[in-house]
Amino acid sequence: MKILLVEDATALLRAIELKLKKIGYEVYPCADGRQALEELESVTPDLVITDIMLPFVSGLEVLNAAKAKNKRTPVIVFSAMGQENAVEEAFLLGADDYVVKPFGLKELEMRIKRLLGTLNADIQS
Amino acid sequence: MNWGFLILEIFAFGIFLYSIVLFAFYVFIGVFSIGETRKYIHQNRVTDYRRIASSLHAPSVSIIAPAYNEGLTIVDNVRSLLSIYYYNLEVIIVNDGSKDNSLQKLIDAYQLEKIDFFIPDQIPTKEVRGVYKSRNPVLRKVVVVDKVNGGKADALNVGVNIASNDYIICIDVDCVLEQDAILKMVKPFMEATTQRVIASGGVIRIANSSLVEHGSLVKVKLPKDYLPRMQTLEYIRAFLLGRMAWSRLNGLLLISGAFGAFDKEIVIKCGGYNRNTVGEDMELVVRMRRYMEERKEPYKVTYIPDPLCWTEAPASYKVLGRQRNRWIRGTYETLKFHKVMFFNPRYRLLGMVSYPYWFFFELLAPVIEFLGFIAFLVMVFAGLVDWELFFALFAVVIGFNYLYSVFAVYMEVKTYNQYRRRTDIAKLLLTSLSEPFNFHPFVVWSSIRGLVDILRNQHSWGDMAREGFDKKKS
Amino acid sequence: MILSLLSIFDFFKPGFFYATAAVFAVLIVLLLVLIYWNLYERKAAFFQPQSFRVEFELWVSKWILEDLQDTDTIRVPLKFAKHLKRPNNRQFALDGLIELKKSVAGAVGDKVVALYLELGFKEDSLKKLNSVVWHQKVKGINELSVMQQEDMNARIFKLTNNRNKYIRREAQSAMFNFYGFKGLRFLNVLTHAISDWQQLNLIEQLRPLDPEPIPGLSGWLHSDNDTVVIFALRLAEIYQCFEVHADVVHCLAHANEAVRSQAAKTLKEIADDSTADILCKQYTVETVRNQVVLLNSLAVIAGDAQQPFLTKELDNENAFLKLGAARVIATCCSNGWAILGAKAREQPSPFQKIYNHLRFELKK
Repeated sequence: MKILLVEDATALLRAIELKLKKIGYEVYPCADGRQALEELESVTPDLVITDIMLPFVSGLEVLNAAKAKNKRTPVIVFSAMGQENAVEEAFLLGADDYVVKPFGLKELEMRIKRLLGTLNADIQS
Repeated sequence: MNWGFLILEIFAFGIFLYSIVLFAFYVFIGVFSIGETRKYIHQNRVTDYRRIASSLHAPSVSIIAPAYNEGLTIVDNVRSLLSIYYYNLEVIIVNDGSKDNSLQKLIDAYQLEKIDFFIPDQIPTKEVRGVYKSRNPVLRKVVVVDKVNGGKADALNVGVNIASNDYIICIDVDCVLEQDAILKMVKPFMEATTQRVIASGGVIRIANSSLVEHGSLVKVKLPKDYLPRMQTLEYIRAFLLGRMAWSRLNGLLLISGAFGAFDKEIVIKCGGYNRNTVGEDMELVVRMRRYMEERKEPYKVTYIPDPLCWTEAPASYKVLGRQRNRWIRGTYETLKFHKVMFFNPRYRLLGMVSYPYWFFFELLAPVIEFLGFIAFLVMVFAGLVDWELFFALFAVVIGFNYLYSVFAVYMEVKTYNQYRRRTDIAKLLLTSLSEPFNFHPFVVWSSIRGLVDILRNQHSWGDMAREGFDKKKS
Repeated sequence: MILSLLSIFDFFKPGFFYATAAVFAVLIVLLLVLIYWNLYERKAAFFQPQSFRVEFELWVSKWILEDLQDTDTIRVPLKFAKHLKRPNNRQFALDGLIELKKSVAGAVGDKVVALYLELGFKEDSLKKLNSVVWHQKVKGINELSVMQQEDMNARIFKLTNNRNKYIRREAQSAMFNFYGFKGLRFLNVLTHAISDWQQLNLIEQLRPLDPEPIPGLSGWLHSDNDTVVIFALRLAEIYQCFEVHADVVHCLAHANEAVRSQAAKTLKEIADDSTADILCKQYTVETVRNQVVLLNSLAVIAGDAQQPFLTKELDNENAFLKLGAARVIATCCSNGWAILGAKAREQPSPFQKIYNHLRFELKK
């Protein structure tokens, strides 16, 4: 499973990347929106996780690009506290889920698994 | 001793005094700007802008972007405006009777439909042909207005009438804004507690040769061509030193038409942009200030030094000449409309310092410089002054010019440091060497031609509409 | 003869000007040195420790993901010790932790705090807090606040009314971050203005908290500090504090235009049967700016009882207010569209346009 991960706070990016790798995903980390758009040209991810506020290109555009490539790619957006409005916009653009910062990594893991349809497998095991 | 010599004496003394005062102003501006810039930068470092970006409670803002024959780039330009972070935002594109297919391109690209729209005409304008909105809910921020051609000021006034929000930000449609531009521009309005902030200006930086992708600035590069590079230096000087110092004094008279934020209520109360001048951006600020002064209400015009707005500068002498010609005419007209303020203590700093400064050192500078230089040359050739003195004076003037430029570059490096490479800074500094011999005389000459145009066309000048839009003012 | 003795040209000695030009030249050279020194420093600060930075981030990520319960087991790799002695790197590492703490919650967040303490960064923050340079102080408060160092609350509380607006802003945020609504007690003693920017800053922090009765709210609504009143009104609006209805109505008569404006906004959220009439009465004595606000509030709470007043307002000469009144009629009166339709037939310009406008605007 390939996951495109876009987050400009590099320490957090690293942490999530490690966490996801540990679970067994193939992770493509990007620190800004432009890099993410470039990455999207060569990689077809199974899931996209992106922050909304990114340098150069906004997370909403990353979301747009991912959905343009494959409408069914699930997308999770991060938002800071109180950004319900940005979240609303993200949903209008087709986002599948969102996580509010600060969040727990376990929570993120669960949401990823649910979207990838592997949550049930987890529960059964 | 004869009369001729006496006149010469007085003339020389006048020029000398003028130069001393001008130098003093520049030194003051340079020194005075340092503290303000430092304070701003420190304050920026400890401010979390993100929290406000998507706040429902943040002030509502309408961006107004007039467009005239911009069909080639308009779709990308609007896209760039839509990528800005700010929730309470409306983007109004005013198509000022373009002769190209601008409107159709927008309609196609953004799935626009004509809607019924009642425009509360608080400011009289030319006729509006239609208001368009997108069928796509994601694009609900976009409003496109189609109107009969009436010039930039008229197009902006239509935008002000239509704007449903409390603050307006007027920009040139071809500008590329940084994503946090609106947030940073709105902050001064929200910070005000005792004085009402009526307008806030932003920096214009030059984008020639820089890399723009997806409507946003990806990589800043120093312009490759001579003229844009020279203007890069000119803009750094004007914005990082000049505007900063004037705003600290609360004496700022000009906010670039390319990027400025205003309190809509005051704009409407003042009657909006003036259609009878080519300097509508400066005129509006002066009129708003005058309005507040006359009502004795405490107010402030602020200014943000962050590089937030990037634009293409004229790259040919022809276009540059036309631009400077227009600037000086705009300055003349603005000062003429408001001549009552000249050394009028009733207008406090505005009347006693800002206005006279603009009159003597912006409007008259090209004339005095030109006449002074000619007169000096004549004196040298007539044997009244020797060559050595001529060169010595010349060295002082040029030396001061270089010093000011180098200081501006130093402040740029110390603060925003947009051009990181050492070779870029070297190129910028080297370019400045040629300024007194090439760029500056051309600018002075263009300004003088503008003043001559004023004298010639005093009467036949009402119709500005077909001139197209001004380029931004530095 | 006398005149020629005093000639201006006597002052124009080339030597004097050459000397001036030379001074300029020296200054130019000095600035050039400074420019290049600055560029060099920046480059050095950016490139040299690049490897350290990447490694440090990686180590932090690994560490916070380990399922350790006992925080005593932090072992900072020796190779970092040297790097962490450099102020630049130290601040970089600290900033990284701050950013991380802002993003992650729960057990991982606690681990970040543990790391902050273990690396001795709290001393750094305290040093900044003690600094006399305002922006250092602000940074210090911010770090302590994000890292939840509540033991510093007494020191920080004293700074909530500091003369420097950035210091007091950060201190206010910190108190709020530590104690929620109870942290807002600084409002009782605040003499400085609390700007809109700071109000929003606090409000956006407030959001995730559970609504609970706000202690002291009614008192703040009667504060001498106008900005405290406005902030309290905003809180009453967001948390729909019906219990302060009377206090908010009282604010409608405030001398400050901005207070009245916010009171009108608040009332639409906490309205009872009497509110719409109160707003209509207030309307006649308000500024145009506040009249717009009042109409916006009425659009939420007005009913048929206000219809005569609103119909009269259709004839207001300000087109913006006409439109506003028509909007309220359309949304709140039971036969609103019929009234507007009749008005449009009677006086097609401008009411036909207003009618069409509202039809489009309200169809969603």
